[in-house]
Amino acid sequence: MAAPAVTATARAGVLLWHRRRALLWLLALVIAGPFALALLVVVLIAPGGGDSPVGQFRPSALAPRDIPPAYLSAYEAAGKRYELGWEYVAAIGKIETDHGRSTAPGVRTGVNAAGCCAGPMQFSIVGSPSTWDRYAADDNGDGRPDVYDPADAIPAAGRYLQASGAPAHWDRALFAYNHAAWYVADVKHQAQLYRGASVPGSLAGAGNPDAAALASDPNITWTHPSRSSPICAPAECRRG
Amino acid sequence: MRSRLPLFALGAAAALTAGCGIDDPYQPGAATGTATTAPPRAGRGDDAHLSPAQRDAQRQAERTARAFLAGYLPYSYGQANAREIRAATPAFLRELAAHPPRVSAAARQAARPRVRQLRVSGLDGSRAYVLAQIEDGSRTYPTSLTLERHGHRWLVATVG
Repeated sequence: MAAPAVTATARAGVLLWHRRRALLWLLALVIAGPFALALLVVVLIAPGGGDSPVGQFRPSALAPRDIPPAYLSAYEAAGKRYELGWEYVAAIGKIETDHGRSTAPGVRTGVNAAGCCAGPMQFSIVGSPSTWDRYAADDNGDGRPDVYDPADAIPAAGRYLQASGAPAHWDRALFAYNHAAWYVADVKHQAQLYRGASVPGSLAGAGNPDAAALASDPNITWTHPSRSSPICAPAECRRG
Repeated sequence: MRSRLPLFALGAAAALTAGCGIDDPYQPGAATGTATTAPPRAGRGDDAHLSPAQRDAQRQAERTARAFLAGYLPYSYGQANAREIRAATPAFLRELAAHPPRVSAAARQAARPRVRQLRVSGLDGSRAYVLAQIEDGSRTYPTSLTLERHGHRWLVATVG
């Protein structure tokens, strides 16, 4: 008669073991489930996730209302092609000529009042080689680069900005585009207005690439927890 | 072995949870390379750790930046020629002279630019970094200057 008692005890033990295992699975599911779900969303559902360029942003609600569709497409294409924020290129187009809508001289024909610059992106066409000569290309494939054609001028602006230091040094690149500190501030402000949500997979906090580059520079000693004030590279501190 | 799977899952989840808080550079107080942990100090108190020579260099850099901005600010609004800019490197002066800024007629007429604040934010043997706040009558904006040591004097090498 002892055997059935042992069997009953063993069955109770097995039942308890199964219950504990089920409880552990349930607990694991509750804790790990959200992580797995988030991973699934990032990998499978998010558009372009995984291969998005660093620091890319979608247009804000304002951007499609303010920017003609052909210009917006060209700005986004230039941003993607030259791996820089499209919103900065668009901000330049806004400030220079209101995306080609300005009726001032030099926007659709001729040169501006200063006698140097032309087209929706106001490239300098004087000098040899001019800035336009250096960065122009027949991007729309119509047989000739046209400074007045946004399909040629906007990609050229992307090339010029990239050659001037963007996106690692936006301030420097914008200053090269127009040698005025107020212009740098205005373009950055306008870019902020055009910048919507970040593209999934791109670097968070890349809204200020200059600050991001400084913050990640291993040669800079930061004196404040705020990381706002570069003092000097360690080697140079020793020299000083 | 199968019975340990839930435990592994729990462990992985716990590690993920804990990992989210590790070395997050955007968390206050997170370690950032060689950053010190000194509390922020304001104004002239920041100079306390500088040697007399460094303090002297800082004052010279500040004077250079102000001298540069005195000529550069009117130039940047189309109110003055690049020839009036002082205290810049020859290469930078050539660049400014070759490409004067595009300024609207309204801004050229109305702007009254002046330096609201200026401070040397970084300094070493060969370079100084200056942050300035400019006010022009319609807006206030920040700008940064990089100065290079040329012999015994500083010269502005870049803006932005």
